[in-house]
Amino acid sequence: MESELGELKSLNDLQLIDLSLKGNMRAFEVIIKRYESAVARVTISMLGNEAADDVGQEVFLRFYSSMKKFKGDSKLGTYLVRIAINLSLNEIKKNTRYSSGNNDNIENNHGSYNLEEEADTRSIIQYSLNLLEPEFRTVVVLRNIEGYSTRETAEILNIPQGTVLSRLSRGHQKLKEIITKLDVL
Amino acid sequence: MKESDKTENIIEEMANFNPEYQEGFSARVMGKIESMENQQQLPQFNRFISWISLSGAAAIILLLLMVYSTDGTLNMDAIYGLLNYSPDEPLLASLK
Repeated sequence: MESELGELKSLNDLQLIDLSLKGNMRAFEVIIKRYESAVARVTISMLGNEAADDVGQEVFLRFYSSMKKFKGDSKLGTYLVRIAINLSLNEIKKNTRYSSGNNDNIENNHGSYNLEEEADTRSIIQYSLNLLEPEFRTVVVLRNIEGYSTRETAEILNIPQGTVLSRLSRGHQKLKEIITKLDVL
Repeated sequence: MKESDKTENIIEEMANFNPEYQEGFSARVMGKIESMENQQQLPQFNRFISWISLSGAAAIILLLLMVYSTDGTLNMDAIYGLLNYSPDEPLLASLK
């Protein structure tokens, strides 16, 4: 059992997909474990902890259902991140509690954020991201958290590179405003 | 620290932002896949059962039609094939 897992872990993505398509569920589990962190970073950054787990599961379920279509044109990690971004944006649209990106929401939302207790960088990042509008949040997550290049981000989001750069710049500007306001609270 | 420096620091720190799902994420996904596969198999099983039921019903209807066309009635004797059967017939035949 352990040796089988070890062997599977040494296989590349396409080999694992091939085995999964032949019904080897352990191979698919290795795919999940390989990309769980990347999908978690995207979904938790986009949605926070509560909804991220469900959306993360949905990412892998969608991939499982459409695995036959994956031909390896892009890296599997990028493919899964693209699904994660799309599902996260759908979730944000569905969520009526979505904050409109207006920084005034900081005052409205400060009940869920206690600066004295949770003023670590991780909490500040998570909280600030949640206040960014989805279009800026997506670019900031892909560029600054996932570490994709401008070109890769543009490909994932299917937008021009210039749009990525302008959204990134505006996203940073908005983050600055949010962080400044947090200090005021 | 200046506000702009603080923001820059936080943006730089984002590269180290590494949140994780709760323990057992892959097991939860595998569980969902299993139940999804079971749900996909259920309609196939239901179709199989329906096919058997319809075949049985068609056979019964065909049989009744044959009985009716042969005997002109659908009473129980006709269905059992005993409409023209007399229990004493073999006894009388042996006495002759």
